[in-house]
Amino acid sequence: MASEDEEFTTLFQDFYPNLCRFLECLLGGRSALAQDLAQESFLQLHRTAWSTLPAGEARFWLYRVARNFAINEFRKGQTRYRLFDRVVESMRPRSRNPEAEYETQERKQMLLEMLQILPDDQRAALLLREQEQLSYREIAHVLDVSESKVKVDIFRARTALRNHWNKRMRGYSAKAH
Amino acid sequence: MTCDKTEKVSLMIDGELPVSERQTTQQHLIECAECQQAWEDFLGLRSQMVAYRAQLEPSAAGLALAKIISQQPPEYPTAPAITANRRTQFSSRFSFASFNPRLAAVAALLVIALTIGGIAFLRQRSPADLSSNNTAPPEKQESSRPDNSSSLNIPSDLTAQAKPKSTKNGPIEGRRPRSIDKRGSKPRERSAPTWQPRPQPGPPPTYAVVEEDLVSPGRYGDGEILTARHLQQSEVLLRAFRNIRVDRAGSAPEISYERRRARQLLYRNIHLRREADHSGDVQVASLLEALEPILLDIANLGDRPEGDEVRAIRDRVERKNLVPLLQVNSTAVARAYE
Repeated sequence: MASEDEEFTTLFQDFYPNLCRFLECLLGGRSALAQDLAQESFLQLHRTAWSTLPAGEARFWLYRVARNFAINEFRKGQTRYRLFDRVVESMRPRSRNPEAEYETQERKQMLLEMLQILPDDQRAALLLREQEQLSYREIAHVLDVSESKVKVDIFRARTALRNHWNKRMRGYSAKAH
Repeated sequence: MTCDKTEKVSLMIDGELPVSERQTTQQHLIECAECQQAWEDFLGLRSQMVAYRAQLEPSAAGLALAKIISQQPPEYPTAPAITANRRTQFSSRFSFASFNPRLAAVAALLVIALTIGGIAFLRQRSPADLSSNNTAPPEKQESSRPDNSSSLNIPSDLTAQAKPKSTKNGPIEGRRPRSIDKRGSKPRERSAPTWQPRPQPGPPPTYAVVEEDLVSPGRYGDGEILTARHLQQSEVLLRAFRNIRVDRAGSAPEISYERRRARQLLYRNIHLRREADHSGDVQVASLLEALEPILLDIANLGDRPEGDEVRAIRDRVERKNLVPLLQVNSTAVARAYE
């Protein structure tokens, strides 16, 4: 039993930050909610499937369950930007380099806004490809869709983001003139 | 106007373009400014997404982990003969099943009615007191007619064995859930669960057993096939690791792929070793036991490890003679399965 806990701890340490990142990008930056859902995913894994999943499958299981939780949040239609998020933000220690941090935050915010223009399927597929470096086959396995759909979704997501970005840049340059 | 080959550029940067098309696409990239721009834009987008870091609260994560591990999963009966895959599918269905309150209420009422009916039937134990349309509540059945006055013909074998009556839909008691589609699709209908459902939110995590990325057959991971593949893939990894060149400065090249692969194989190794221990396959269990610390050490190396670290692991692999052992055993296991 102790070794199972150690394995689980290793899995948690390896994938918890990535799962939080995936959920944050899916949810448009709601970090507290993302961490809640990530923790819930690990909890479900530990309770129900940990002892029976084939080795190596846990990661895919986690992403699948996390994504389903995120979809539930969308369907509820709740904009759960909790008070806790704001409190945490206000109490966060200030960086020694506020300019760099501001730029990082700006870039993150821009990315999150761009990702929100995508349909859920495309967003999830693109995140799993770019951030988690899963193959198309693995993404299809996580999302329970065909590989062809994954291929098309990722291409359409990239094209949409590219077009959105170009429009925005044209808008900025038009204003400048 | 977008070039129609832009999709192939997208596949190429993911390494998913078929080999037969790579050369023509590379040639096209040289000639097409539109696709060159797409290439740069897609890679730029990738770097933005990879650079994104979640805002984590480390203390919250640590507390969550402690809480998860300290919780014991609820007990529920499991049959030893059920394979891990089917057990997983059962637990996923009945723990995460999409909860339909009406269906659950109907199922619960049915169980209660059958239980009461069964108890009343067993108490009477007389053919004259039984009715073929036994929908009367238990109270009425207790004040039923005497044994020898019955207008109904009840087969004696039924009463003698005190079996529950069959309905036109088939016997209710003892009905098992429908055979589960191994792809994990949700059931349209099911009988009352045989264990208490967990009060958990969220959808059912439907999934199938992982498909191996190198060898295609064996959809549901037969133990021997999985073991043979695992040994083969471990052999490939150790060979690749053996061929890593340490430069004169004493450091090794970037080995993130080998580390990631070792981590994946490590999880599977732990699982297969337990299976081999459980089934009494001493030879495979001891080989996996010898392999495990090697995979662990490779997984724990830094991205650019020191040459000494790499050499130390290589020496251990050579001393244990692991590569030939893995090669021989993967072939033997695969042949034994055939």
